[in-house]
Amino acid sequence: MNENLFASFAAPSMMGLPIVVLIVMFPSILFPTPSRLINNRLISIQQWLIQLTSKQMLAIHNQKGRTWALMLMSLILFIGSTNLLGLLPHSFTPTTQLSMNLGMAIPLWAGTVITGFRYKTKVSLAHFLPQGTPLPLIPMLVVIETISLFIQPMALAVRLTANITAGHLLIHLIGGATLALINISATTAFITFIILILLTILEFAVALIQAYVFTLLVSLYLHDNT
Amino acid sequence: MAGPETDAQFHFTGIKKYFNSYILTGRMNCVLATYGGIALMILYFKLRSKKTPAMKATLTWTSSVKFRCLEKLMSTHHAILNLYNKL
Repeated sequence: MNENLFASFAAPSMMGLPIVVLIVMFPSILFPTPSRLINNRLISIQQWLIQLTSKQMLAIHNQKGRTWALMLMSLILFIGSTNLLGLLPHSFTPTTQLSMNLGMAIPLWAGTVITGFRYKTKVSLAHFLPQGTPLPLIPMLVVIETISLFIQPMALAVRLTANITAGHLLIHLIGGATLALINISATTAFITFIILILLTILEFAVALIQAYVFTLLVSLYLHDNT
Repeated sequence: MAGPETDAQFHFTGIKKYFNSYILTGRMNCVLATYGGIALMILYFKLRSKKTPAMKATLTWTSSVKFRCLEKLMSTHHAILNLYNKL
């Protein structure tokens, strides 16, 4: 039981070869490139969703910030689709791997910070000291703000990893409990099954919400630096 | 949000003109001064001598002329004693 619980988080391999790259690339097949002015239903729905999301997300940005539109939309589509595909039984979810999420979070965060320091050095440095800070507190607050800046990519990555991993673990545990309770008490097993259904619905929501939160936070960091 | 239009309402004189937590330049200078102070502290602790005052005094004493003369005198004394014991 213990070994099976964490087996789904191990990097998959087929005949000794790692296939994690194929799994990461798989969601892109689900988003075909629009080739006509009026496309089929799948592409039309996807285009409508992308337009809705991009309008809402890029509304706060100026000209410079909007150059990141493709990056942000790709990010939310990738994380959302990966998380949703991970809810399929016996599938591997790349976003449960901290290495993958750090690989997304650190370059994006560093890109926003470097953009800010390059084009608005004074404002970026002044951000480390909140306006109106009393004189004795200035050194301490500068240190605290510096630490909070460097914690941002770690928090981004760990938030996504922890949420998706925790959800999958809970589904595993409650599913296992339901199966174990069937022979003991049918009523309890039924109640546990209802809880499992509710949890699965919650995980669907969490999968999309975490994708949105990740992208929104990157967008906010960009907004602060442009 | 702080900006050039809100900075105009503040009128500081003296050192507060450059180091304050209200205008953009003042905040930037405070941040740079804090980082500079931390860098100086790190440099100071890295470069300072690791020897204690007692060790320093001992090393100074052992490298002094008086100590060398005393050491020579003691070694001569030991040599004479050994010779005497052999005889």
